[in-house]
Amino acid sequence: MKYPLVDERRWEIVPFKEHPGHDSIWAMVRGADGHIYIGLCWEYSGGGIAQLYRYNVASKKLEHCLDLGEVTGERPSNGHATQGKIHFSLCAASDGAIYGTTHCTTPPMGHAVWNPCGMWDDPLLGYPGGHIFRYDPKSGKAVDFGILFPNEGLPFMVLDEKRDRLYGITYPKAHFFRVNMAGRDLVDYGRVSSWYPIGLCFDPRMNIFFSDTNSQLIKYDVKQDRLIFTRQTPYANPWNASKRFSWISNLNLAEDGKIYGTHYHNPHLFRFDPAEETPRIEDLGRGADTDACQQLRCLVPDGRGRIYYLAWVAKGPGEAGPHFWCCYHLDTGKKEVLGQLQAHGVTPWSWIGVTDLEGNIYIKGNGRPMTLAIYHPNA
Amino acid sequence: MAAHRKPVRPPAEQTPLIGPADVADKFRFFFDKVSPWVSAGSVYGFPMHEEMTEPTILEGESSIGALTTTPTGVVLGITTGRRGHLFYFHHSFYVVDLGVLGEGVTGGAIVTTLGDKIVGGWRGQDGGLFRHDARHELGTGQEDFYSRKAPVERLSLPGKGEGVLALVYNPTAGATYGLTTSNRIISLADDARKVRVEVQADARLAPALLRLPDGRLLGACEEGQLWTYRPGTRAIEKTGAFAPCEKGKRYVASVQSLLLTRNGVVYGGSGTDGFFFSFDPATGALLNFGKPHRQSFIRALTEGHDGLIYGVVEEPKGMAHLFTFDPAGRVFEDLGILNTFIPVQWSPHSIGALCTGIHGEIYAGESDTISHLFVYYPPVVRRTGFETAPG
Repeated sequence: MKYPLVDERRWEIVPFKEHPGHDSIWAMVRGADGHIYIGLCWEYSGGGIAQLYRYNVASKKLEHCLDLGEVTGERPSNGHATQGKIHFSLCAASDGAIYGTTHCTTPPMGHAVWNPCGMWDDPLLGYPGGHIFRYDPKSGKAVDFGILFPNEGLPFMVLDEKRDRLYGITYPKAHFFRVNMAGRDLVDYGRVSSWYPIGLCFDPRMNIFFSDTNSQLIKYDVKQDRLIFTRQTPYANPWNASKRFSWISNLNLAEDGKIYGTHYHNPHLFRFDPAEETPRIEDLGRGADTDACQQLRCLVPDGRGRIYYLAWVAKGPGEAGPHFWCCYHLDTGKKEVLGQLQAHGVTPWSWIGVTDLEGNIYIKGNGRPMTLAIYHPNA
Repeated sequence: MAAHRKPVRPPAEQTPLIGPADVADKFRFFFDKVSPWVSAGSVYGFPMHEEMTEPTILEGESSIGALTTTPTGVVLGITTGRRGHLFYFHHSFYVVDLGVLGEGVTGGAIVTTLGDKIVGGWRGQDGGLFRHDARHELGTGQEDFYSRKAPVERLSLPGKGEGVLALVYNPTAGATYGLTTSNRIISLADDARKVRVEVQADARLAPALLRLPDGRLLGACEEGQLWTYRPGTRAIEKTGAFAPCEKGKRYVASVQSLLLTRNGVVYGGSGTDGFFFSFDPATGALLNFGKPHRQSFIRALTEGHDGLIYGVVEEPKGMAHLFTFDPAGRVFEDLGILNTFIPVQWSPHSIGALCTGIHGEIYAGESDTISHLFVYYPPVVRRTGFETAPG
């Protein structure tokens, strides 16, 4: 089946003109002030430094907040793998503060490649470690809580404000940990996966769900303060018996109380009820028909009965097929392809997305300079 | 009054090494020059459960603390963590849990004794000793679709709460000797159930022990000092040999691993600084070969059938590297970080034990929250000069 392009009038593309060399976005959060905070990353070549941006929903403009090289005191020319990324780790506190972490894999300046295990403890070229930081939008100032895990990046962090806890994941060692909101009182729960989990969310009771590299659903039980390896996995293609490289890629709590997810290596949407002792995973089938869908990403519940997501067809190694903007209706279970996603000359592709208070959806765009793509469902 | 001075800014830092900025084939370049994974030979990695059954060695209980090979080829090991388990590896079933040894286990030792009988022990919240006959666990009948599990015979250690640091077998004496957390040398005769205290040491014993060709035991204590003990003499004799360390670190120096090779040479690895050395028990001479890697802590050593010494170097919170030492050329080679896709994809960051299988394969026990048993098959040596004449 062929799908028309999405309605361009509903899409807005906003370029990060001040940082034209940056090449990816992995983190977004809506702050308590209603604005959208974005981690702009420099990942695919050496020497880049992550930047924290805010999309001001009132002025409809991008505003630069932080240079993470300045926050961490690590200049891009210091020879080390740089603080090039903010990855799945922006958290919004009720007082308006934004918490985040820095993350690695950006090579040192002048280098094209870099490996975190090979360069694990190299005194010249190693990664010093991811920093946890706190940004106060009112003052524009940031506090650097320092490095908790030397040599490791911090690709994931979420905030449980009521319990004064930040939970995170390390890379490459894939340890699950928690600290308090001052970045202290570290508890390391150990390794949880081969590669680090890439989809993670709270349930209403503030338990945390994520998966290992082989799809296994893992629960951090907040009451018991321990990890539970549930042995539950979502649908896997029958030819991938070992579920190799099959992370749960997105997990998002929707307003029906269920957690919805996508999978790294198949196009099925799934959900489970986190209230169940051992959640049974319900396969919701393909996210779209075969022509439009080999994989799904970027689940965004809009709080209005819909979950938006991206579907796409991979054409071959390194070759991207068309992307499709899709929607799942919570009340009917209907899955709808809204169109091929290409707008104003940009083909957005994103792992994550957030909504603003009016229900507009923000995802990573694409291109150089990198862009923010904004979907206005009611335009 | 001091003259006004302009603040002095440090000079801009320079990138100390410049790598290739433009790489024509980034993927090939990565494989050849960036990838840290062991690429010579083949690496297999098995989760700590039987392929067909629900895991019973759970996360947090699977860290492998000790391994041994029996003459028929069964490899057995001890896990540490919340609970410690005894397990064996079988090619049909993979890792078979033989049961829980104790709770809060922090370390263990296991040694092959007579035939396929093994003696093992553990330490931690509590300690214990056991014996197990693994001969039934190798063979599977033609239609044997289930793993076999012979019972584990539990034995008592002399002291309450006492744990086992290291074990070694002396076939001539028909006895297993061990070191305990109470700094005692113990012995257990092949058919005995009662453990005998050989001697109480006046030093803190390191968890490393071997039997010298002349029947003496060799171990280490504080500051990396080596000692010997001849069974029956009831006296530990400290040698003048100390594991090497950097100047100024003698007070924290230690021996982390000891190995007796087939030709009677003793090799050792230090904790602090990670030096690799040999020790001549006849002369007491210790020879420092240097460091196989940047990291400290040579955690385990084993001898391959190819004449190489295989070792693991990994300091606390480090990244475990497999290395070899070639006694002929006295050279080290860093083989890299283990990584496997067969049957599961996994790369261990921590390795706590090594042993050599009966066919020369190297078993490596991961020591992490979630652990695997790795089997490394060194590369097949290319033979030359055997080509047959045409016709």
